[in-house]
Amino acid sequence: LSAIPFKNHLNGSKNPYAQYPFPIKLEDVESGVKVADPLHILDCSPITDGAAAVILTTVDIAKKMKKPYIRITGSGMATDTIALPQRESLTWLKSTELAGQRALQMAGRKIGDINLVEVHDCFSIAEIIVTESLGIFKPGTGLKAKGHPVGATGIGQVVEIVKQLRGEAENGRQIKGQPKVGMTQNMGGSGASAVVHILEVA
Amino acid sequence: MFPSRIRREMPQRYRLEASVCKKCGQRYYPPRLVCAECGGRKFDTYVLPEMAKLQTFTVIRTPASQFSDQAPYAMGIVKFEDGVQMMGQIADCDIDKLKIGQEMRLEFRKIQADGSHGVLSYAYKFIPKWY
Repeated sequence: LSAIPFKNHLNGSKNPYAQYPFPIKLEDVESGVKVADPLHILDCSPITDGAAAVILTTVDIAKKMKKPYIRITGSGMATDTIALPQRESLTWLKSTELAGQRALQMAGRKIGDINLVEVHDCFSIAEIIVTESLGIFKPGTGLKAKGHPVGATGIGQVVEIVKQLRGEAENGRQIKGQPKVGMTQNMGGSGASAVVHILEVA
Repeated sequence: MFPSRIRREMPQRYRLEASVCKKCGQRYYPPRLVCAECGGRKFDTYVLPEMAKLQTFTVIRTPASQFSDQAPYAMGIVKFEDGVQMMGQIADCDIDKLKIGQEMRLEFRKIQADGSHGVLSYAYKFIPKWY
């Protein structure tokens, strides 16, 4: 569990827009203030002020812009009960699983086609359950170090994927091998609603 | 918590009333207006039993401000014999000795006070059986 914030801070230390852009030690996680067992303070994303924006337009107009454009090829949404005791499983996010399947179906993609993903890793355990529910391993940066300005987080994820797909990520955090297909997963109400998008290089 | 909400939730919080869908038999606590399984809108009311089994729990060590005088305290999800699950605080216990699978008794307890002049809200808490 502690390896998750360790990894996210390491990646986040290279992000010039991160709220806490510095690496942490594994011991720092385990010696931090306890919030709710087994989560310590560094397992929890911070309270953040932030903003993010994207420009949405048609392909025709996008072609006239000077920057390479990114297409939204899939969008999926699903809901679940907000009350955890009423869910089928406490260790699975069914809304995320369904939203992921719907987005992939719309894009005509398989989960193996995804080169990178930004997930709603508001707590370290959330990253584990979300990636398991999507069926993917996530190397990304995360909300822990970047910050979690709740209303801006979803678009913030899109901005990061767009940078990576354009090959514009700063400070040597650009993913190697020219990623072509990215995914974002956002959720609210501990997964009562989940939205997944597939973004692709045009 | 708003007084109107306390009043509205009295049947479930004070009397532990749950509902069962007349069409498909799905059981709900707290009661619902529409069945999530079949869309049915007619329910029978029944009262939950006093005993349930602990399914999972956590210990809150950094609480919300209205519960700061109670920390550290345990929050758990319990399951009744008919499959209904609910979440609540586990009281009167040694938090280091809690175990998943333990039997819990439901007791009527004070949950929080809305300042010194506001309405007190009551509901259930779970008490480990040996206490």
